[in-house]
Amino acid sequence: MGGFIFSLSCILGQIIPFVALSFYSTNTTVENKANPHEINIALLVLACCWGLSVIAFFGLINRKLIGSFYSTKTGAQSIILGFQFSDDPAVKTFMVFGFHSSFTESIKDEVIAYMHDNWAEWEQMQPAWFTPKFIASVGDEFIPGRALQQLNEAAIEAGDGARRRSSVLSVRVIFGKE
Amino acid sequence: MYITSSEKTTFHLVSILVSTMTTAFSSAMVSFDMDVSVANRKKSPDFYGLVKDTNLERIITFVVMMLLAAFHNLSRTIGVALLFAVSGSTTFVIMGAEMAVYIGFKVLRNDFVTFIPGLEGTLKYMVALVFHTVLKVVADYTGERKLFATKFASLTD
Repeated sequence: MGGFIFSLSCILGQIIPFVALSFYSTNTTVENKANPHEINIALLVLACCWGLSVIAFFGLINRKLIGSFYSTKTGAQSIILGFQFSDDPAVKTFMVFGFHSSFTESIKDEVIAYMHDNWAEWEQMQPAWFTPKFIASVGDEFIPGRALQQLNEAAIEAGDGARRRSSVLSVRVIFGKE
Repeated sequence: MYITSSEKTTFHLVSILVSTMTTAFSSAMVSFDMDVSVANRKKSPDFYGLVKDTNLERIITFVVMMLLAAFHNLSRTIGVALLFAVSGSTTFVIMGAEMAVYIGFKVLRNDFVTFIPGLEGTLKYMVALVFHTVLKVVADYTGERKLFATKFASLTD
């Protein structure tokens, strides 16, 4: 609900100063009070300038994305749509494993089926995003049995015991730098 | 504070204006950079890609974004300054109520937990509370829309 809440917050941001001014002008305890009439004019000018900027902004931007300013989609809904409507495996896997697991809990079976169907191909093709770091971020249930066994065996050979999952990302990943 | 200062000089106003423009420039720059990022447009085409592609359109849009952030920031700041002049507690009640409604709305819509993978239990909720509070304050006073929708804010849109 980011778009809707953001727009609401912007409108509220224009209303609050006038409400605050009514408190300010009726209050008798404020020392060195500025002229409420002058503040009112300043606020009106600011609100008009803001309104004109909004009109100019909407006139300049890509029209097809205007809906994002009143969208009420939640984070989880956006992630699920991102997974379901993207054709790019990098984006699809990012949508699932780049975010908190609760976001895609409702489509877990769909994700497991997708991962199981494509894992062998990714192992063979080794796309740029299919890194050891990515594999470490994937839960066991999303990896086909044979591949999981191989990963565990490789980890045991390397002296690590069973394969270790990386559940917490680095700060760079959190900020979207990787 | 300018509005309660016994000596109201032009210097005060210039200082406020410079601070506002600095904030607006930073906010517009963050928004602009995130919007024109090819990676972001690829990952989330429903959200990124507001700014059109010619140089002139980009320059004008950036200037308008900056003005928008400046006017937004000034209005918000003046509102809070006026409330503070009246009473600190009234200010905290109003700002706190706005924040509580925002957080409450997120909880009711099952949109409270943030994006960070691996967080579980109480920590998941504590981190979410801090994140949403900080992001709302920053977004409210900068007009930085992308914060509401980036990975940082659980890609909410």
